[in-house]
Amino acid sequence: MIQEFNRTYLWGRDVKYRMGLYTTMAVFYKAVVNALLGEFSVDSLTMLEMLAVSFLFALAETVIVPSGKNRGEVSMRRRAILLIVLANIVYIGSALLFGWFRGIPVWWAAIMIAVLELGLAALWYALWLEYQRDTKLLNQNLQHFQQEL
Amino acid sequence: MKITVEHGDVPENEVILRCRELDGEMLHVLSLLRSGLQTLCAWTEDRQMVLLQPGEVLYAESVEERTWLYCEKAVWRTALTLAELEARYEALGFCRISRSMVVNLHGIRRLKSYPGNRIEATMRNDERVLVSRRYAPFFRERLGM
Repeated sequence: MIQEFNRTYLWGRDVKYRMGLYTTMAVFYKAVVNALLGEFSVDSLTMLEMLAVSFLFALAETVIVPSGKNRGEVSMRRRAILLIVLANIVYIGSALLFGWFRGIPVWWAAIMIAVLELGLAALWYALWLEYQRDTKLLNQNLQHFQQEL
Repeated sequence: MKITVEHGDVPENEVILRCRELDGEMLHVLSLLRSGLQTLCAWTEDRQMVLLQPGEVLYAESVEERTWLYCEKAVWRTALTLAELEARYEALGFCRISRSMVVNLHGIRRLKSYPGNRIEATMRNDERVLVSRRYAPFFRERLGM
């Protein structure tokens, strides 16, 4: 019972961290666009919408890529693609649905989508770099161990 | 620790350890010598028996309560359990990597890190084995990380 509660609590904390990160990114995006349009505030309702959307996306992310779970390389690649597709659908769809960036020219929208894609690519590139670094460290320690005896 | 190797016309190879007391380092050397001198009794399905040096074993796997020893070119069966193999040859680099596998750290060619704290080990015979998430911390510890 207590283990189940602890597991749910940790999962909830994980969702909150991810939600916080994505909400910050969305609000930052909106603030930059508003500033470029000459408006130096972000509507509270818009921020709440972004929070709710980010919560749903973070929830989906913890289901698609649960932290600390063993997955094969192929499975992880599929899950990463699914997550990127979902990010596009959720954030572009919500922006259209709630009119977050109403009134901007089409070429702005194109640039914003490109930035979103770059951001997602950078996220996975950072993960790839982390595994590369860990792999290098593992092999260095292995060599050291093998030479020691 | 001072290491001296003397070459001479001796009837038998001999190792003498000189120390004030048996400290951790000396115990490690002793266990290494003892485990290194032990041979592993193994056999094939058709009961062909062989005495293996522990260093010849790349990894051991338990399948349906039988323990198999994987060498570079052959697979042998042993009566020892994975726990016994690990305990007996730990000083020689035997390390548990999952519930059903013990690997010889000296038989690994390279390692690769994967998501979920999983590690893939490519052995000297190019076979790949996985260090499970549960055993990865102990594996890293063995490598001095």
